[in-house]
Amino acid sequence: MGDALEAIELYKTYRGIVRRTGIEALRGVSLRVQEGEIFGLLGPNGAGKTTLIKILLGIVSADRGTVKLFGLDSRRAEARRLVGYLPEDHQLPEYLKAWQVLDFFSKLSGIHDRAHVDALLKLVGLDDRRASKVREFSKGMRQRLGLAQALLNKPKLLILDEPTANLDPLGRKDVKDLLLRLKGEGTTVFISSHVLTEIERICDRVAILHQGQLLTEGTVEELTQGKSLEDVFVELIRGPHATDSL
Amino acid sequence: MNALAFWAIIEESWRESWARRTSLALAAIVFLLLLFFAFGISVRHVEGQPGMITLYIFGNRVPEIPISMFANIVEALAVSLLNPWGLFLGLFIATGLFSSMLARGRLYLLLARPIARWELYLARYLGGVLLVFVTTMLFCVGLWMLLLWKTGMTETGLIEAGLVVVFLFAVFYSFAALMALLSEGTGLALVATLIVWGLSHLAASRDLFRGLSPVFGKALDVLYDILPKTKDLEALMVKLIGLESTVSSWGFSMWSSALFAVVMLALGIYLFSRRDY
Repeated sequence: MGDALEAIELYKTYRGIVRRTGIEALRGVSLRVQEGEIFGLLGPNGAGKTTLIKILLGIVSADRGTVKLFGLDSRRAEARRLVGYLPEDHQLPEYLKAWQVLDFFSKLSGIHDRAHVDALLKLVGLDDRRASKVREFSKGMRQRLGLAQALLNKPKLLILDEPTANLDPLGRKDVKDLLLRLKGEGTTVFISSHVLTEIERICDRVAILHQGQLLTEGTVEELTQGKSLEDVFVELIRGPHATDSL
Repeated sequence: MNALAFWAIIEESWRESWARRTSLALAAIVFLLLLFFAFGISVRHVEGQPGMITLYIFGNRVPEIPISMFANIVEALAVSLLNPWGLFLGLFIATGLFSSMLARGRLYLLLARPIARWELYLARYLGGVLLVFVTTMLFCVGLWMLLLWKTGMTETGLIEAGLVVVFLFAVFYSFAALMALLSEGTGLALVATLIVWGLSHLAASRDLFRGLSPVFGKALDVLYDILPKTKDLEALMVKLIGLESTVSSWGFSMWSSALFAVVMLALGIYLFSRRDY
Protein backbone atom coordinates (compact mmCIF):
# COMPACT_ATOMS: atom_id res chain seq x y z
CA MET A 1 0.00 0.00 0.00
CA GLY A 2 1.30 3.47 -0.91
CA ASP A 3 0.68 6.78 0.78
CA ALA A 4 -2.66 8.43 0.23
CA LEU A 5 -1.40 11.56 1.90
CA GLU A 6 2.07 12.77 2.68
CA ALA A 7 2.67 16.07 4.47
CA ILE A 8 6.24 17.13 5.06
CA GLU A 9 7.37 19.86 7.46
CA LEU A 10 4.33 22.10 7.21
CA TYR A 11 4.60 25.58 8.66
CA LYS A 12 1.88 28.18 8.68
CA THR A 13 1.72 31.56 10.40
CA TYR A 14 -1.32 33.79 10.07
CA ARG A 15 -0.12 37.37 9.85
CA GLY A 16 -2.27 40.45 10.27
CA ILE A 17 -1.86 43.55 8.14
CA VAL A 18 -0.57 45.55 11.13
CA ARG A 19 0.78 42.85 13.45
CA ARG A 20 3.41 41.10 11.33
CA THR A 21 4.50 38.64 14.02
CA GLY A 22 1.27 36.68 13.57
CA ILE A 23 -0.06 33.45 15.04
CA GLU A 24 1.79 30.21 14.41
CA ALA A 25 -0.87 27.71 13.42
CA LEU A 26 1.46 24.90 12.31
CA ARG A 27 5.06 24.34 13.32
CA GLY A 28 6.74 21.66 11.29
CA VAL A 29 3.94 19.12 11.00
CA SER A 30 4.74 15.96 9.06
CA LEU A 31 2.47 12.97 8.66
CA ARG A 32 1.67 10.12 6.33
CA VAL A 33 -1.65 8.39 5.80
CA GLN A 34 -1.55 5.04 4.09
CA GLU A 35 -4.04 4.03 1.44
CA GLY A 36 -7.07 2.20 2.82
CA GLU A 37 -6.73 3.22 6.47
CA ILE A 38 -8.90 5.39 8.70
CA PHE A 39 -6.71 8.08 10.22
CA GLY A 40 -7.88 10.22 13.14
CA LEU A 41 -6.60 13.69 13.91
CA LEU A 42 -7.15 14.85 17.47
CA GLY A 43 -6.41 18.11 19.17
CA PRO A 44 -7.98 20.75 21.40
CA ASN A 45 -9.59 23.85 19.91
CA GLY A 46 -7.01 26.05 18.22
CA ALA A 47 -4.51 23.21 17.84
CA GLY A 48 -4.26 23.78 14.07
CA LYS A 49 -6.41 20.85 12.88
CA THR A 50 -8.58 22.89 10.52
CA THR A 51 -5.54 24.76 9.17
CA LEU A 52 -3.85 21.42 8.48
CA ILE A 53 -6.93 20.13 6.65
CA LYS A 54 -7.21 23.33 4.61
CA ILE A 55 -3.56 23.04 3.61
CA LEU A 56 -4.13 19.42 2.58
CA LEU A 57 -6.89 20.68 0.24
CA GLY A 58 -5.08 23.77 -1.03
CA ILE A 59 -7.63 26.12 0.57
CA VAL A 60 -4.81 27.62 2.63
CA SER A 61 -1.23 27.72 1.42
CA ALA A 62 1.60 26.61 3.71
CA ASP A 63 4.48 29.01 4.36
CA ARG A 64 6.85 26.05 4.09
CA GLY A 65 6.52 22.36 3.44
CA THR A 66 4.83 20.16 0.87
CA VAL A 67 1.67 18.06 0.65
CA LYS A 68 1.16 15.21 -1.76
CA LEU A 69 -2.10 13.36 -2.31
CA PHE A 70 -1.47 10.04 -4.02
CA GLY A 71 1.85 11.45 -5.18
CA LEU A 72 0.28 14.60 -6.69
CA ASP A 73 0.84 18.16 -5.46
CA SER A 74 -2.28 18.93 -3.39
CA ARG A 75 -2.67 22.36 -5.01
CA ARG A 76 -3.38 20.77 -8.38
CA ALA A 77 -6.97 20.21 -9.50
CA GLU A 78 -6.04 16.60 -10.43
CA ALA A 79 -5.27 15.92 -6.76
CA ARG A 80 -8.57 17.40 -5.60
CA ARG A 81 -10.37 15.16 -8.08
CA LEU A 82 -9.39 12.22 -5.84
CA VAL A 83 -10.61 13.81 -2.63
CA GLY A 84 -13.99 14.24 -0.94
CA TYR A 85 -14.28 16.86 1.79
CA LEU A 86 -16.82 17.67 4.46
CA PRO A 87 -15.94 20.89 6.33
CA GLU A 88 -17.01 21.36 9.92
CA ASP A 89 -19.05 24.50 9.30
CA HIS A 90 -20.29 23.79 5.82
CA GLN A 91 -23.06 25.86 4.29
CA LEU A 92 -25.07 24.14 1.58
CA PRO A 93 -27.17 26.34 -0.74
CA GLU A 94 -30.42 26.67 1.22
CA TYR A 95 -32.56 27.42 -1.81
CA LEU A 96 -31.68 24.18 -3.61
CA LYS A 97 -33.44 20.85 -3.26
CA ALA A 98 -31.42 17.93 -1.90
CA TRP A 99 -30.91 16.38 -5.34
CA GLN A 100 -30.03 19.76 -6.85
CA VAL A 101 -27.30 20.27 -4.24
CA LEU A 102 -25.70 16.97 -5.18
CA ASP A 103 -26.21 17.61 -8.89
CA PHE A 104 -24.49 21.01 -8.57
CA PHE A 105 -21.49 19.70 -6.64
CA SER A 106 -21.11 16.69 -8.92
CA LYS A 107 -20.98 19.02 -11.94
CA LEU A 108 -18.24 20.95 -10.14
CA SER A 109 -16.31 17.69 -10.08
CA GLY A 110 -16.92 17.29 -13.82
CA ILE A 111 -19.51 14.53 -13.31
CA HIS A 112 -23.11 14.50 -14.48
CA ASP A 113 -24.72 11.31 -13.18
CA ARG A 114 -28.26 11.55 -11.77
CA ALA A 115 -28.36 7.83 -10.89
CA HIS A 116 -25.29 8.27 -8.66
CA VAL A 117 -26.94 11.29 -7.01
CA ASP A 118 -30.02 9.18 -6.23
CA ALA A 119 -27.87 6.33 -4.93
CA LEU A 120 -26.05 8.70 -2.56
CA LEU A 121 -29.31 10.18 -1.28
CA LYS A 122 -30.40 6.65 -0.49
CA LEU A 123 -27.06 5.86 1.14
CA VAL A 124 -27.41 8.76 3.61
CA GLY A 125 -31.11 8.10 4.17
CA LEU A 126 -32.45 11.17 2.40
CA ASP A 127 -34.02 9.50 -0.65
CA ASP A 128 -37.52 10.31 0.58
CA ARG A 129 -36.53 13.99 0.94
CA ARG A 130 -34.78 14.37 -2.40
CA ALA A 131 -37.20 17.10 -3.52
CA SER A 132 -37.13 19.02 -0.24
CA LYS A 133 -35.17 22.26 -0.02
CA VAL A 134 -32.14 22.42 2.26
CA ARG A 135 -33.76 25.24 4.25
CA GLU A 136 -36.37 22.72 5.43
CA PHE A 137 -33.70 20.32 6.73
CA SER A 138 -32.65 19.77 10.33
CA LYS A 139 -28.97 20.09 11.28
CA GLY A 140 -28.59 16.33 11.19
CA MET A 141 -30.11 16.08 7.72
CA ARG A 142 -27.81 18.83 6.48
CA GLN A 143 -24.86 16.93 7.89
CA ARG A 144 -25.95 13.77 6.07
CA LEU A 145 -26.40 15.71 2.84
CA GLY A 146 -22.95 17.24 3.37
CA LEU A 147 -21.52 13.75 3.71
CA ALA A 148 -23.23 12.72 0.48
CA GLN A 149 -21.66 15.68 -1.37
CA ALA A 150 -18.26 14.56 -0.10
CA LEU A 151 -18.83 11.16 -1.69
CA LEU A 152 -19.99 12.47 -5.08
CA ASN A 153 -16.73 11.99 -6.96
CA LYS A 154 -16.22 8.48 -5.50
CA PRO A 155 -13.14 9.78 -3.66
CA LYS A 156 -10.06 7.72 -2.94
CA LEU A 157 -9.45 9.93 0.08
CA LEU A 158 -12.26 11.26 2.26
CA ILE A 159 -11.41 14.19 4.56
CA LEU A 160 -14.01 14.80 7.25
CA ASP A 161 -13.95 17.61 9.78
CA GLU A 162 -16.23 16.71 12.70
CA PRO A 163 -18.42 14.42 10.58
CA THR A 164 -20.77 13.42 13.39
CA ALA A 165 -21.43 16.93 14.70
CA ASN A 166 -25.19 17.58 14.89
CA LEU A 167 -26.03 13.89 14.53
CA ASP A 168 -28.06 11.94 17.04
CA PRO A 169 -26.74 8.55 18.32
CA LEU A 170 -28.44 6.67 15.48
CA GLY A 171 -27.00 9.06 12.92
CA ARG A 172 -23.54 8.66 14.47
CA LYS A 173 -23.80 4.91 14.24
CA ASP A 174 -24.85 5.17 10.58
CA VAL A 175 -21.84 7.35 9.81
CA LYS A 176 -19.51 5.00 11.65
CA ASP A 177 -20.89 2.03 9.70
CA LEU A 178 -20.62 3.95 6.45
CA LEU A 179 -16.97 4.85 7.10
CA LEU A 180 -16.12 1.24 7.91
CA ARG A 181 -17.89 0.16 4.73
CA LEU A 182 -15.96 2.72 2.68
CA LYS A 183 -12.75 1.51 4.25
CA GLY A 184 -13.70 -2.00 3.21
CA GLU A 185 -14.07 -0.73 -0.35
CA GLY A 186 -10.55 0.71 -0.25
CA THR A 187 -11.31 4.36 0.53
CA THR A 188 -8.85 6.17 2.78
CA VAL A 189 -10.53 8.24 5.48
CA PHE A 190 -8.99 11.18 7.34
CA ILE A 191 -11.13 12.35 10.26
CA SER A 192 -10.73 15.29 12.58
CA SER A 193 -12.99 14.92 15.59
CA HIS A 194 -13.47 15.92 19.20
CA VAL A 195 -15.37 12.72 19.95
CA LEU A 196 -12.54 10.56 21.26
CA THR A 197 -14.58 7.39 21.66
CA GLU A 198 -15.56 7.63 18.02
CA ILE A 199 -11.93 7.95 16.94
CA GLU A 200 -10.91 5.13 19.26
CA ARG A 201 -13.49 2.77 17.79
CA ILE A 202 -12.97 3.26 14.10
CA CYS A 203 -9.49 4.64 13.46
CA ASP A 204 -6.51 2.50 12.53
CA ARG A 205 -4.06 5.24 13.40
CA VAL A 206 -4.30 8.47 15.34
CA ALA A 207 -2.28 11.68 15.59
CA ILE A 208 -2.56 14.33 18.30
CA LEU A 209 -1.92 17.93 17.36
CA HIS A 210 -1.37 20.65 19.96
CA GLN A 211 -0.31 24.27 19.45
CA GLY A 212 0.63 23.58 15.87
CA GLN A 213 2.87 20.61 16.60
CA LEU A 214 2.28 16.90 16.26
CA LEU A 215 2.70 15.46 19.77
CA THR A 216 2.33 11.81 18.87
CA GLU A 217 1.21 9.46 16.15
CA GLY A 218 0.54 5.74 16.03
CA THR A 219 -2.05 3.00 16.14
CA VAL A 220 -4.73 3.29 18.80
CA GLU A 221 -3.18 0.31 20.65
CA GLU A 222 0.30 1.83 20.60
CA LEU A 223 -0.96 5.11 22.00
CA THR A 224 -3.34 3.85 24.64
CA GLN A 225 -1.50 0.76 26.03
CA GLY A 226 -4.42 -0.24 28.19
CA LYS A 227 -5.58 3.29 29.01
CA SER A 228 -8.46 5.07 27.37
CA LEU A 229 -7.70 7.41 24.48
CA GLU A 230 -9.25 10.22 26.51
CA ASP A 231 -6.73 9.75 29.33
CA VAL A 232 -3.84 9.65 26.89
CA PHE A 233 -5.14 12.78 25.17
CA VAL A 234 -5.52 14.73 28.42
CA GLU A 235 -2.09 13.64 29.64
CA LEU A 236 -0.44 14.73 26.46
CA ILE A 237 -2.13 18.11 26.42
CA ARG A 238 -2.07 18.96 30.14
CA GLY A 239 0.78 16.88 31.49
CA PRO A 240 1.12 13.34 32.97
CA HIS A 241 -0.76 14.00 36.25
CA ALA A 242 -3.65 15.93 34.76
CA THR A 243 -6.03 12.95 34.71
CA ASP A 244 -5.50 12.32 38.46
CA SER A 245 -7.02 15.66 39.36
CA LEU A 246 -10.13 15.13 37.25
CA MET B 1 -10.87 24.26 -18.26
CA ASN B 2 -13.72 22.38 -16.60
CA ALA B 3 -16.65 23.49 -18.84
CA LEU B 4 -19.31 21.53 -16.93
CA ALA B 5 -18.21 23.09 -13.64
CA PHE B 6 -17.93 26.55 -15.20
CA TRP B 7 -21.49 26.38 -16.50
CA ALA B 8 -22.74 24.91 -13.21
CA ILE B 9 -21.49 28.02 -11.37
CA ILE B 10 -23.25 30.31 -13.87
CA GLU B 11 -26.44 28.26 -13.62
CA GLU B 12 -26.28 28.31 -9.83
CA SER B 13 -25.98 32.13 -9.84
CA TRP B 14 -29.31 32.20 -11.69
CA ARG B 15 -30.96 29.76 -9.34
CA GLU B 16 -29.78 31.75 -6.34
CA SER B 17 -30.96 34.99 -7.82
CA TRP B 18 -34.42 33.49 -8.50
CA ALA B 19 -34.52 32.02 -5.01
CA ARG B 20 -33.75 35.41 -3.50
CA ARG B 21 -36.70 36.80 -5.46
CA THR B 22 -34.46 39.62 -6.71
CA SER B 23 -34.56 38.42 -10.30
CA LEU B 24 -38.25 37.85 -9.93
CA ALA B 25 -38.67 41.47 -8.84
CA LEU B 26 -36.53 42.64 -11.76
CA ALA B 27 -38.50 40.55 -14.25
CA ALA B 28 -41.78 41.79 -12.69
CA ILE B 29 -40.70 45.43 -13.15
CA VAL B 30 -39.82 44.73 -16.79
CA PHE B 31 -43.14 42.99 -17.48
CA LEU B 32 -45.16 45.72 -15.74
CA LEU B 33 -43.47 48.38 -17.86
CA LEU B 34 -44.08 46.38 -21.03
CA LEU B 35 -47.69 45.74 -20.02
CA PHE B 36 -48.22 49.45 -19.36
CA PHE B 37 -46.87 50.25 -22.81
CA ALA B 38 -48.83 47.44 -24.48
CA PHE B 39 -52.22 48.14 -22.95
CA GLY B 40 -51.98 51.55 -21.24
CA ILE B 41 -51.03 53.45 -24.37
CA SER B 42 -53.12 53.35 -27.49
CA VAL B 43 -51.75 54.78 -30.74
CA ARG B 44 -53.95 55.87 -33.66
CA HIS B 45 -52.68 57.23 -36.95
CA VAL B 46 -54.18 60.62 -37.85
CA GLU B 47 -56.09 60.43 -41.11
CA GLY B 48 -54.76 62.66 -43.86
CA GLN B 49 -51.57 63.47 -41.89
CA PRO B 50 -48.93 60.83 -42.62
CA GLY B 51 -46.42 60.36 -39.83
CA MET B 52 -48.74 61.85 -37.19
CA ILE B 53 -50.37 59.90 -34.40
CA THR B 54 -52.84 60.47 -31.62
CA LEU B 55 -52.06 58.94 -28.24
CA TYR B 56 -54.51 57.71 -25.64
CA ILE B 57 -52.93 57.04 -22.23
CA PHE B 58 -55.44 55.00 -20.23
CA GLY B 59 -58.15 56.46 -22.46
CA ASN B 60 -57.03 60.08 -22.07
CA ARG B 61 -56.34 61.74 -25.38
CA VAL B 62 -52.98 63.47 -25.93
CA PRO B 63 -52.58 65.98 -28.82
CA GLU B 64 -51.20 64.70 -32.14
CA ILE B 65 -47.44 64.27 -32.35
CA PRO B 66 -45.11 62.90 -35.02
CA ILE B 67 -44.42 59.16 -34.80
CA SER B 68 -40.65 59.74 -34.63
CA MET B 69 -41.05 62.11 -31.67
CA PHE B 70 -43.21 59.56 -29.84
CA ALA B 71 -40.64 56.84 -30.48
CA ASN B 72 -37.84 59.14 -29.28
CA ILE B 73 -39.72 59.96 -26.07
CA VAL B 74 -40.34 56.27 -25.36
CA GLU B 75 -36.73 55.34 -26.09
CA ALA B 76 -35.36 58.24 -24.05
CA LEU B 77 -37.54 57.23 -21.10
CA ALA B 78 -36.44 53.62 -21.47
CA VAL B 79 -32.75 54.56 -21.60
CA SER B 80 -33.06 56.86 -18.59
CA LEU B 81 -34.70 54.01 -16.68
CA LEU B 82 -31.94 51.60 -17.64
CA ASN B 83 -29.20 54.09 -16.84
CA PRO B 84 -28.65 54.71 -14.02
CA TRP B 85 -31.56 52.98 -12.21
CA GLY B 86 -31.34 49.64 -14.01
CA LEU B 87 -27.56 49.77 -13.71
CA PHE B 88 -27.74 50.36 -9.94
CA LEU B 89 -30.36 47.65 -9.45
CA GLY B 90 -28.25 45.20 -11.46
CA LEU B 91 -25.17 46.04 -9.39
CA PHE B 92 -27.13 45.62 -6.18
CA ILE B 93 -28.38 42.16 -7.19
CA ALA B 94 -25.20 40.86 -8.79
CA THR B 95 -22.84 42.09 -6.05
CA GLY B 96 -25.02 40.35 -3.48
CA LEU B 97 -24.72 37.15 -5.48
CA PHE B 98 -20.97 37.50 -5.74
CA SER B 99 -20.56 38.09 -1.99
CA SER B 100 -22.70 35.08 -1.11
CA MET B 101 -20.22 32.82 -2.89
CA LEU B 102 -17.51 34.12 -0.57
CA ALA B 103 -19.32 33.02 2.62
CA ARG B 104 -16.80 30.73 4.32
CA GLY B 105 -18.81 27.54 4.85
CA ARG B 106 -19.91 27.70 1.23
CA LEU B 107 -16.56 28.68 -0.22
CA TYR B 108 -14.78 25.71 1.42
CA LEU B 109 -17.08 23.34 -0.47
CA LEU B 110 -16.31 25.10 -3.75
CA LEU B 111 -12.55 25.43 -3.24
CA ALA B 112 -12.21 21.73 -2.42
CA ARG B 113 -13.59 20.84 -5.87
CA PRO B 114 -11.35 20.31 -8.90
CA ILE B 115 -12.11 23.72 -10.36
CA ALA B 116 -9.47 26.43 -10.61
CA ARG B 117 -10.08 29.56 -8.58
CA TRP B 118 -9.93 31.77 -11.68
CA GLU B 119 -12.75 29.70 -13.20
CA LEU B 120 -14.82 30.07 -10.05
CA TYR B 121 -14.33 33.85 -9.95
CA LEU B 122 -14.93 34.37 -13.65
CA ALA B 123 -17.98 32.08 -13.81
CA ARG B 124 -19.63 33.88 -10.90
CA TYR B 125 -18.87 37.24 -12.54
CA LEU B 126 -20.29 36.07 -15.87
CA GLY B 127 -23.37 34.70 -14.10
CA GLY B 128 -24.16 38.24 -12.92
CA VAL B 129 -23.44 39.77 -16.33
CA LEU B 130 -25.66 37.20 -18.04
CA LEU B 131 -28.50 37.89 -15.62
CA VAL B 132 -28.41 41.62 -16.36
CA PHE B 133 -27.95 41.00 -20.10
CA VAL B 134 -31.06 38.81 -20.32
CA THR B 135 -33.20 41.17 -18.25
CA THR B 136 -32.06 44.24 -20.19
CA MET B 137 -32.61 42.55 -23.54
CA LEU B 138 -36.03 41.34 -22.42
CA PHE B 139 -36.95 44.95 -21.72
CA CYS B 140 -35.33 46.50 -24.82
CA VAL B 141 -36.43 43.87 -27.33
CA GLY B 142 -39.92 43.75 -25.79
CA LEU B 143 -40.27 47.52 -26.01
CA TRP B 144 -38.84 47.56 -29.53
CA MET B 145 -41.40 44.97 -30.65
CA LEU B 146 -44.22 46.97 -29.08
CA LEU B 147 -42.98 50.13 -30.81
CA LEU B 148 -42.84 48.23 -34.09
CA TRP B 149 -46.38 46.98 -33.53
CA LYS B 150 -47.84 50.33 -32.54
CA THR B 151 -45.94 52.72 -34.79
CA GLY B 152 -44.26 50.66 -37.50
CA MET B 153 -40.85 52.15 -36.55
CA THR B 154 -38.03 49.67 -37.19
CA GLU B 155 -34.96 51.51 -35.83
CA THR B 156 -33.00 49.26 -33.45
CA GLY B 157 -31.23 52.05 -31.53
CA LEU B 158 -32.94 51.09 -28.26
CA ILE B 159 -31.56 47.55 -28.41
CA GLU B 160 -28.09 48.87 -29.19
CA ALA B 161 -28.37 51.36 -26.30
CA GLY B 162 -29.40 48.43 -24.08
CA LEU B 163 -26.21 46.61 -25.05
CA VAL B 164 -24.18 49.67 -24.03
CA VAL B 165 -25.97 49.62 -20.63
CA VAL B 166 -24.99 45.96 -20.20
CA PHE B 167 -21.42 46.83 -21.16
CA LEU B 168 -21.37 49.65 -18.59
CA PHE B 169 -22.78 47.25 -16.00
CA ALA B 170 -20.09 44.66 -16.78
CA VAL B 171 -17.41 47.33 -16.33
CA PHE B 172 -18.67 48.51 -12.93
CA TYR B 173 -19.49 44.97 -11.81
CA SER B 174 -15.84 43.97 -12.33
CA PHE B 175 -14.96 46.64 -9.77
CA ALA B 176 -17.84 45.72 -7.44
CA ALA B 177 -16.72 42.06 -7.49
CA LEU B 178 -13.17 43.08 -6.57
CA MET B 179 -14.48 45.22 -3.73
CA ALA B 180 -16.74 42.37 -2.54
CA LEU B 181 -13.68 40.11 -2.50
CA LEU B 182 -11.64 42.61 -0.49
CA SER B 183 -14.38 43.64 1.94
CA GLU B 184 -16.05 40.21 2.10
CA GLY B 185 -19.43 41.92 1.99
CA THR B 186 -21.91 43.66 -0.27
CA GLY B 187 -22.48 47.02 1.41
CA LEU B 188 -18.98 48.42 1.23
CA ALA B 189 -18.51 47.05 -2.28
CA LEU B 190 -21.63 48.85 -3.50
CA VAL B 191 -20.69 52.13 -1.80
CA ALA B 192 -17.18 51.98 -3.32
CA THR B 193 -18.65 51.25 -6.76
CA LEU B 194 -21.07 54.18 -6.52
CA ILE B 195 -18.16 56.42 -5.52
CA VAL B 196 -16.21 55.30 -8.61
CA TRP B 197 -19.31 55.86 -10.75
CA GLY B 198 -19.61 59.40 -9.32
CA LEU B 199 -15.89 60.06 -9.79
CA SER B 200 -16.07 58.93 -13.40
CA HIS B 201 -18.77 61.56 -13.99
CA LEU B 202 -16.75 64.20 -12.15
CA ALA B 203 -13.65 63.35 -14.20
CA ALA B 204 -15.65 63.62 -17.43
CA SER B 205 -16.63 67.17 -16.43
CA ARG B 206 -13.04 68.12 -15.63
CA ASP B 207 -13.06 71.17 -17.89
CA LEU B 208 -15.54 72.82 -15.56
CA PHE B 209 -13.17 72.46 -12.61
CA ARG B 210 -9.85 73.17 -14.30
CA GLY B 211 -10.03 76.85 -13.34
CA LEU B 212 -10.34 76.04 -9.61
CA SER B 213 -6.86 74.62 -9.20
CA PRO B 214 -4.27 73.25 -11.64
CA VAL B 215 -3.55 70.32 -9.30
CA PHE B 216 -7.24 69.43 -9.06
CA GLY B 217 -7.53 69.69 -12.84
CA LYS B 218 -4.53 67.39 -13.30
CA ALA B 219 -5.95 64.90 -10.77
CA LEU B 220 -9.22 64.82 -12.70
CA ASP B 221 -7.29 64.27 -15.96
CA VAL B 222 -5.60 61.23 -14.41
CA LEU B 223 -8.93 59.97 -13.06
CA TYR B 224 -10.51 60.38 -16.48
CA ASP B 225 -7.73 58.31 -18.06
CA ILE B 226 -8.03 55.51 -15.47
CA LEU B 227 -11.78 55.27 -14.81
CA PRO B 228 -14.56 54.02 -17.10
CA LYS B 229 -15.82 56.67 -19.50
CA THR B 230 -19.34 56.63 -18.08
CA LYS B 231 -20.45 60.00 -19.40
CA ASP B 232 -19.17 59.26 -22.92
CA LEU B 233 -20.99 55.94 -22.95
CA GLU B 234 -24.16 57.62 -21.73
CA ALA B 235 -23.82 60.11 -24.60
CA LEU B 236 -23.40 57.14 -26.94
CA MET B 237 -26.69 55.68 -25.68
CA VAL B 238 -28.41 59.00 -26.44
CA LYS B 239 -26.87 59.03 -29.93
CA LEU B 240 -27.98 55.45 -30.58
CA ILE B 241 -31.62 56.29 -29.95
CA GLY B 242 -31.35 59.07 -32.50
CA LEU B 243 -31.17 62.10 -30.23
CA GLU B 244 -28.64 64.95 -30.32
CA SER B 245 -25.46 63.92 -28.59
CA THR B 246 -22.02 65.37 -27.94
CA VAL B 247 -20.27 62.02 -28.22
CA SER B 248 -17.23 62.06 -30.46
CA SER B 249 -14.65 59.33 -29.81
CA TRP B 250 -16.79 56.50 -28.41
CA GLY B 251 -14.35 53.87 -29.68
CA PHE B 252 -11.72 55.11 -27.20
CA SER B 253 -14.36 55.30 -24.45
CA MET B 254 -15.36 51.68 -25.11
CA TRP B 255 -11.94 50.11 -25.17
CA SER B 256 -10.51 52.14 -22.28
CA SER B 257 -13.56 51.20 -20.16
CA ALA B 258 -13.15 47.57 -21.23
CA LEU B 259 -9.48 47.79 -20.22
CA PHE B 260 -10.57 49.03 -16.77
CA ALA B 261 -12.84 45.96 -16.47
CA VAL B 262 -10.09 43.58 -17.60
CA VAL B 263 -7.63 45.06 -15.07
CA MET B 264 -10.20 44.83 -12.25
CA LEU B 265 -11.04 41.24 -13.17
CA ALA B 266 -7.38 40.26 -13.43
CA LEU B 267 -6.67 41.85 -10.05
CA GLY B 268 -9.65 40.11 -8.48
CA ILE B 269 -8.65 36.73 -9.90
CA TYR B 270 -5.03 37.23 -8.79
CA LEU B 271 -6.04 38.08 -5.22
CA PHE B 272 -8.68 35.33 -5.05
CA SER B 273 -6.16 32.75 -6.28
CA ARG B 274 -3.58 33.68 -3.66
CA ARG B 275 -5.83 34.22 -0.68
CA ASP B 276 -6.12 31.87 2.28
CA TYR B 277 -9.63 31.00 3.43
